[in-house]
Amino acid sequence: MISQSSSLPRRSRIPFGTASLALVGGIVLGLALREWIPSQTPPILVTASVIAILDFFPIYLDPSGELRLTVVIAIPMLVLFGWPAALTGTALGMAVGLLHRHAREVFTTSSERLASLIVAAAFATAFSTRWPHDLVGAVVVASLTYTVFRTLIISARMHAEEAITWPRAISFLVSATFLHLAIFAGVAAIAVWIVSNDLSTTSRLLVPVLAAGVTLQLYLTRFSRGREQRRVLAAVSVLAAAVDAKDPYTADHSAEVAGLSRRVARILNLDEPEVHRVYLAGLLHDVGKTAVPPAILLKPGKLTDDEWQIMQSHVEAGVRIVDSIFGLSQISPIVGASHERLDGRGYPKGLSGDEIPIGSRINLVVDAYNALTTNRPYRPGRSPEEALVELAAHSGTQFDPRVVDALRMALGYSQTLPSTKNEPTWLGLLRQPAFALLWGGELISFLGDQVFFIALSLWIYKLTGSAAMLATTLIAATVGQGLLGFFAGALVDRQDRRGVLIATDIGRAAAVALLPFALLRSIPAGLALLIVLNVGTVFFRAAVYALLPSVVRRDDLATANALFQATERIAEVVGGVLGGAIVLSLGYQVVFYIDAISFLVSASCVGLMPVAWKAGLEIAPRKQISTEIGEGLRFIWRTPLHRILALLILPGYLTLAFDALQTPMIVKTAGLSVVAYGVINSVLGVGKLVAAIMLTGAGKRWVSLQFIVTMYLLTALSVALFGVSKIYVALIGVAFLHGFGNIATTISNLTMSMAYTPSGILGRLIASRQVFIAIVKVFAMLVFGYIADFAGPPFALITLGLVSGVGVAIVWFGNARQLHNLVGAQAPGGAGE
Amino acid sequence: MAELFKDFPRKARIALVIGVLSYLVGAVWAVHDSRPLAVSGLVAIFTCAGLVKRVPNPSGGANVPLLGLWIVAALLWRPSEVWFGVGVGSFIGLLIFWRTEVWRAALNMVLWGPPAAAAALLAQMILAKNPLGLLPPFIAGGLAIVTFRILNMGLFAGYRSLRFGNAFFADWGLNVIANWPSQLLSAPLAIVAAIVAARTGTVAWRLVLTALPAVTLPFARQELAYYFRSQQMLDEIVEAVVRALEGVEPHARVHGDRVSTIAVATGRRLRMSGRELLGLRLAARLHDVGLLAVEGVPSREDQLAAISGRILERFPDPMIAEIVRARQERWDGKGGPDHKSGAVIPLGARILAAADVYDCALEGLQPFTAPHSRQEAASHLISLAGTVLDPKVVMALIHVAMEKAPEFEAAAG
Repeated sequence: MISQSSSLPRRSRIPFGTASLALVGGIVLGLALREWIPSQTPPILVTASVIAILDFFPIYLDPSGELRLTVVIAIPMLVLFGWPAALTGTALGMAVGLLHRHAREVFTTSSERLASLIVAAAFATAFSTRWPHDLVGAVVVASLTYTVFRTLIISARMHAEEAITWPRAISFLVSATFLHLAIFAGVAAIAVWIVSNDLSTTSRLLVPVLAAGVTLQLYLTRFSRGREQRRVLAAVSVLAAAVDAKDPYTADHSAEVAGLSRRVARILNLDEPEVHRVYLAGLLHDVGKTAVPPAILLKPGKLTDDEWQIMQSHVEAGVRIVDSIFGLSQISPIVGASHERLDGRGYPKGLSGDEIPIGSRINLVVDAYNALTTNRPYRPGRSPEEALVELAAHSGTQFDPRVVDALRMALGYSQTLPSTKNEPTWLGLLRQPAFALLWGGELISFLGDQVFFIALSLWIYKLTGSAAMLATTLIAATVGQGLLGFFAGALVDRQDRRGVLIATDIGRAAAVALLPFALLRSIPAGLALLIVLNVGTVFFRAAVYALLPSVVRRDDLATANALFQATERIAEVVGGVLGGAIVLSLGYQVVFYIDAISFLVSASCVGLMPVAWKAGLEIAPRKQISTEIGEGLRFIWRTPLHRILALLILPGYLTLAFDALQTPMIVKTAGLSVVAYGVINSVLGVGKLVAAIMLTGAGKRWVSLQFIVTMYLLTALSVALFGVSKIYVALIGVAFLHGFGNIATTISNLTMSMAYTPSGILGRLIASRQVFIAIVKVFAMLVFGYIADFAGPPFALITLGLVSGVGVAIVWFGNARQLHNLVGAQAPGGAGE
Repeated sequence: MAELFKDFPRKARIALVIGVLSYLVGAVWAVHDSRPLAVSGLVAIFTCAGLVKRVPNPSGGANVPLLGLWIVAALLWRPSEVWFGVGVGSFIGLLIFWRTEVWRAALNMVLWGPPAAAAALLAQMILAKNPLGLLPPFIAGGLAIVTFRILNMGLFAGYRSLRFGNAFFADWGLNVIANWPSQLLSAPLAIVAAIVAARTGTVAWRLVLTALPAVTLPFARQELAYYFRSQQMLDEIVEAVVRALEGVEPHARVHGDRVSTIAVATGRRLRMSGRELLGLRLAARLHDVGLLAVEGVPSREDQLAAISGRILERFPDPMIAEIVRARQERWDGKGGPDHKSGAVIPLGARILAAADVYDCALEGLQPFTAPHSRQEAASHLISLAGTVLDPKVVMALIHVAMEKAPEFEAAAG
């Protein structure tokens, strides 16, 4: 393989990962050596020598990469002679690789193989203790574990080394290696089956060797082919080097363009053979320049028309050269169109838009980026940021905007890719691994929470039989928000947000898992754990919302928020039903463990996200935490938009008192049954869901101050109407409206907060908002609950609606002038940056 | 393919006729000594092996990865059955499926049948001692391969020496040891088959076991085709580089081709292995690739060598870059860029240096002002031997240059 350019940003988790694997391998090897007895010497030596030979013959994978045949000998030896002999022999044999391969490569691949083999050994040993006579079964188990673990490790390394998302790396490995690994495992199983009834050491040694030999015989031609193909790749890069050498300022230009093009192609999700073609075309995109005289190629000033003609002819010359090479003709369309512009004003054919192969569009952008960032005699190279700005300025005319975005992502300047126009935004969002994982993790832990709360309430009531205790419990489960909201915001702005997510997930998992023990022993201890749990949730939510803008493009924020709300509403319904069902069938405790597992799943989802650690953080000197909280509040007060949004909370969210007023209204005043109460509540939920789904579809079109105010007014109106409704149907309709307005304001509000806030302060902003809302909610419930007791629910509801509506209107018109400017500038939801 | 039997040299024709006749005599004896089912089955299997299409080999001829199949036959069947089955089966297969001329099919019948039978003879002797043991099949497999290769390549070398006048022993020896790892690795399937056959026994079973490895042939063939295609691709990419070089230095192609021809012939004479020769050939063709990198011709040749070497470092075999980098080193250590001397300089680089000087002298390229005759060029080389060039290499080069002068002239044209 040609080494990738070192100028590309790399995440440096490889040495750490490999080193830890090697450490594990070393420790287990030490254990294995302690078990050594003289009779193990022959199997160790046989394994070592066969592995050493097999290592000379890596199997070539299409279109790149290689696979070694370790499984064929190591696993039969593992099953027949026990893990100490197999592991020692394998390690010895792999060490021989130092004689003919790079030490670093040997170290990396050997640690990976050894670690996978150790896991396989553990499983095989466990299997053998249970079924000592089923040797073939042990081989199957060992091969399966080996394959799975190996795939996980290697895909992790690919994910860390190159810009390949983890799922993609896994699917690549599965498609490229699983057939071969299955063949190796089959051969190993047959070998063990042959000797399973034969206890003589000679046959147990010889048959696995024979199996390895058969595999080698079957794969020998493939090996030769692979060796030759590597040589071809090298020759292609010699050709590229010959081109680059013409211009002293562009040494390694072609290799850099090729390497970066490959990353971009993978981010754009091209299939792997196409990625390889883009890579080759990147190497050879300038090959025609060998036909251009250096006088023209290196001329510092402007070219005359004639010279420009000759310069342009290099594309056709390149196509001729590529076509003349057998097997490279597939890339000639890519090379031939590598100077076409998106708007059709390029050369030689003047193709436009989708007529230009995607590979050419990638090569053109990467080529331009590389040219901009390298030093020239007449100007120094620009910084990557400047180059990206320059590219963005020409994107849409000269460059494909999607490719420019992908390049930005490949260089580590953003985490997401805009979706294609043909599919709905939310689908595009879910296709992005970063968002999908964040969403999936959040959804799973939210679902776990819903299930958990059902079980918790039921269990507490069963344990204590006291409604007061139940209320205390529920307060304990919500107290964190008000107490710690501000701190959560400040912490999320200062710590790595992904780290906070993972830490709170793990902490919550531990708390939930401990809860059954605590509750059974002392209720106060359980309550303490519940508070811990809730604090964790407070931090988690703040971090999720603060991280979201680093994961999703600004234009997609509305859709992302709406999608979160929609799925959470569904999870509420499903979680309730599910929780009841699980409690009935499996008992209370299981639910707690399920919740704990859901937190762990959420943590690993966050861990897998292809997003840089510390995304969105501002590096600023540390201050007192109170100072930082103050900064957040000052930011809200000084920014007109956020001040208005914050001011709107007081009248707008008064309507949350509706939750407290609706029950007496329905049951007492309207005199409806409990069933009707349930129906109205469900309709409320349906309204929320419909709003969330509609906003998921509408995206940023519905994100504006006017929309928020309209929805506040709609909610206030619905509250007032609820107060005057007497008939069942009217109540249902109004309930729907209320749910709709409530969620629509929430989504729109969140999105505006995210879209117009610097990332470094976002955590504090979001958390402060939640605190304001919590305070308003408590205040509203107390005041209007009292009014309802005093003057009856209808009166309280009508008053609530009126107060809220009038309040919103006052804030709106009171800030009319500032609003006028704001609406003009920002209302459409912020197109462009 | 248009060669005709009557174009053969007289000796070769007589030898082939004698060979075919002796084979047939043997075949008559063999039929008496064999089981009918076994013989007819083997003939059928080897006829069907002809269904696997040949892969054109860029260096001439065509290949099929069949070696494994012969070894299976040798380990599973009686020598007489192998003699008849393999020979006749191959004859029919070639005739029907490959559509070769009758003489070529007959030639292959003689080249393959008897060596396989000899291998079978040895193998059966070993297997008979301990039919159910595990070790004997390993030994028998190894011996069968060695016997088969030696006899097969001996017959083949004999044919070529009679037909084309190649040196018999050199041809034989080189071909027997060529690619030995892949030859040894054609045994394992046969060993497995022999072990299984010893436990199941019947003729029908043995036929199945013989036919099974044939199933893998199409895959092996496909990979072989990819392999040759890659070789061809490599050639064409090198060709593209040479074409680019031609734009800078018009003599580059002719000079590079001639230097590579002389260098490879010299290297072969100095017993370099096939792989080394391949590297030497690439290095010789691309030895001035640095010209692409510099403006005009650089003042010092060793700088050019260093630049060329750096470009060629991308090849996976480091030998190529080493050869090109060290080609301006002198035998007495006064050269550049690394001031190596004597045998520390890679052999390929010493050969390349001598070949380069020789061809520049013949063609009158720099530093020579006018073309020299072969004798003048040779005496110039001798004058440099021991100071600039390796004397051993100079001797070998002059030897092959005088011996093969007409061929080189043809190559240059």
